[in-house]
Amino acid sequence: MRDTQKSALPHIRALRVEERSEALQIDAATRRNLELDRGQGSREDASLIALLDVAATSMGSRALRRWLGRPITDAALLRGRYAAIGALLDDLRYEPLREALRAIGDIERILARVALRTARPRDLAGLRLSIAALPALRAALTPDLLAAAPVLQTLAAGIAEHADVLALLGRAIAAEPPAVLRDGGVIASGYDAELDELRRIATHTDDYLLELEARERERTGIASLKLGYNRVQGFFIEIARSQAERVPADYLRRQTVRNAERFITPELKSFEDRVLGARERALARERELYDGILQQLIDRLAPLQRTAESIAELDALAALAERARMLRWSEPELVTEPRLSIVAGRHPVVERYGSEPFVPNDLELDARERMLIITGPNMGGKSTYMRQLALIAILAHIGSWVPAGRAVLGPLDRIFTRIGAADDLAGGRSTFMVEMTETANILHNATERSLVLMDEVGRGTSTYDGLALAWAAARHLATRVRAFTLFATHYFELTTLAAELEGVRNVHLDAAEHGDGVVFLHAVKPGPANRSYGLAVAQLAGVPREVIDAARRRLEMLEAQRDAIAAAGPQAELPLFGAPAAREMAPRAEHAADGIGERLRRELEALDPDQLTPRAALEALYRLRDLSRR
Amino acid sequence: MMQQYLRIKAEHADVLLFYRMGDFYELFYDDARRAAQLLGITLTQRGQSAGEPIPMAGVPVQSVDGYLARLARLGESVAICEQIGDPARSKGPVERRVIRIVTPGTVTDAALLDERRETLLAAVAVEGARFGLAWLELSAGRFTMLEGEGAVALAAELERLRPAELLWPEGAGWPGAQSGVEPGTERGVTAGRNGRAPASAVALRARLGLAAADRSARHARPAWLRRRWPAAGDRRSRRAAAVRA
Repeated sequence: MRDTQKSALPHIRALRVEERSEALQIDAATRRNLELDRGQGSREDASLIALLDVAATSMGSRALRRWLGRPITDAALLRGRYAAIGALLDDLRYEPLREALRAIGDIERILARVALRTARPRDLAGLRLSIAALPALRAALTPDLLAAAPVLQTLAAGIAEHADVLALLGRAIAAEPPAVLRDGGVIASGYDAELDELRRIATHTDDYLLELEARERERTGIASLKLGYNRVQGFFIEIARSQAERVPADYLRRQTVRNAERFITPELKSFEDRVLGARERALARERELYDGILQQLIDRLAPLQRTAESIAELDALAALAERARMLRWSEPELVTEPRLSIVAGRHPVVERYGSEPFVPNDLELDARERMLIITGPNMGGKSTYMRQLALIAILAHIGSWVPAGRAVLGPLDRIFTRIGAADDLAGGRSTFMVEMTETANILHNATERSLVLMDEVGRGTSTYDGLALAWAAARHLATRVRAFTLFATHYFELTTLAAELEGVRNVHLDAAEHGDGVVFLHAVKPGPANRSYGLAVAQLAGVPREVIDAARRRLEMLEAQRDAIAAAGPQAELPLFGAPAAREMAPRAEHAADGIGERLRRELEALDPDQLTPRAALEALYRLRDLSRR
Repeated sequence: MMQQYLRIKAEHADVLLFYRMGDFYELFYDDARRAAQLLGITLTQRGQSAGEPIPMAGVPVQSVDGYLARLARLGESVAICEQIGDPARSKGPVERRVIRIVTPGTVTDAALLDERRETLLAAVAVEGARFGLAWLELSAGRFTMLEGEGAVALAAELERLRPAELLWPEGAGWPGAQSGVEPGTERGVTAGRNGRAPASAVALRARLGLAAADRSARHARPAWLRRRWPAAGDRRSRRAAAVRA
């Protein structure tokens, strides 16, 4: 780092150490699935941060992103932020505060450049403007506002006035300095007597030049004589070509241009040396003074940085207050017992960017009821319902209010999602492989304090494989992990889990047939859905009428077959799910296989591969195969 | 002049060298070809060396910020070499010195930064299943680290931080490999800088499409991890302490 900047790094503050256990953990896939930082697909701008970030300063924006990057679990800290937002919402006190914040520039980054001594003149002008805006900001932090929220009080205490810095910048830096120091004009006049004197010599040349021009005209009698200046030649006297032979002897030719000759005189030369010398020295003096000013600012770095940091957090809170009001959010309640209780919850991003009015939904999970099996039509809102719970939980854990009528949350440690993904083409993994990798991660790492969202697990493989995996994963989550789980599925067979396992409940997304079509009501109702509306969705999507009709006939046939099989009893073809007796199949089959398994194992143990000839090995293989076929 | 150039270039072999010549920053040889391709600037020639024309490309000094921003976003690092002496007064080539190195994770110019997003330089060290991750926001002076366990956890941290530049131990492979996070797929997890600085002595550089080319730069040093990780933590703490003091 020192190597790249060729400079000391006085602005780097103490190393902070984050503990992963103090944060609500969100794995990479979940972060992407929930579209926290970026939307997926066509709406890349439709993300949670895009919705949240109305910060008045760029420092506030970055603070919000940091918060959203790392939701925390410290309930006291979170309640402090809720209270601060509440205090800011009273009488819309956030409005004057945000107004004051808008006048403040990116102090944090300006200070970094100051520390690295790469700050440009306009950085210092920006710093000056920002510091000048601090009294108004402090005035917006009224005593009754601060009294209402200790968090705000702490932040306000971090925002000093820095009157001495303001005075220094006011005296030292020109009102509107140029972009770069190189050409001078950065240091205000009146700041340094030496600089002022050099500048006076360098710039107050007009009177002298006018006087000289008039004098030379009179002396030579050439009316068209002009004084000029350019960067290459310096000062010169220009005379039209036709008059050139009339110049006095002390005129030295410097340059010939079209129609004119340029001359210099000893007097003009010495004037030039004096002026240009003064200019150079003025520039050098400015650089010196500028360095001195940077050093004085570096000496004040720590309190200035503290102010910047406090402003960033204050701005982030004010932005959350604005969002809470504009989007009609409410203050969440954190409790110590296991619970997730949402009344009239909404998906904030879908609500904001969606085209239809959003239908709010409730949700209730607690120590006893930990899993919802969610069924219902495709496009019916299963995914939205699940995601909104995760987003509400995340918002609550960054200290924000949440898009719900009421939200009560017990302690959470992680959020997992297994939500539809595209093929990972770059990684060379199929949809199913991605799905199973994520599922494995969830089954290994989820705890009873985790929130798990499973959407259509098993979809990526054949029906029976997928159904079996989904069933086993749901069962594991419900009985072993005991995580708070929302399990959306199109396998109706899973709805029987509610009857079999404690703590599992069915809910479904509602839809109504409307003529031949279907209307999605997006409302969550208790109990399993009764049909999938797949054909209706297909029709909605414009699948040709003939195909829909053929599908409907085929469906009726399949359903009749299924009913016949079910009537035939537990020994029939699809035994794994459905009737309770069938559930005993798996263990029983294992049991029956035990005798053979045990014999196989003994046989294998008896083999010594090092001692076997190839022929004996082949024979052993046949023997084992035959054994397994019994 | 070319002697001076080659001497300076030798000290900055792995980054693009912007060599100040009057109103332009010039690049030569492979740097010129690469910059011409990345920036769409004209590839030209200057003089000859061993009978071959020297490839050259350049950008005007006044618009250098825009080019630096583009290169930083592409994951490139650039050494800025300025004229230190006075061209009017010096005999032979004017004295030049590299005054700073712009890398994707260490830019601080307002023109090169996204206002509302942090630009981070991160470094990761892995030991068995455990990892240590440290990141620096140079443009704000914020320096943070954490420790964790497992590729999934590391991928989660990288996904939230999206460092502009990531250093990791050479020979250890891309630490996010098992988690589906690919290096260099976008602004975000990109180049590890193969720096000579002690802090990144064996850092590995990887970039989308350049992975194969960079493989030549890998030197397996398995002992690195055992030696380096605890020491790295100590060193950083010490530096942090020094900064405070």
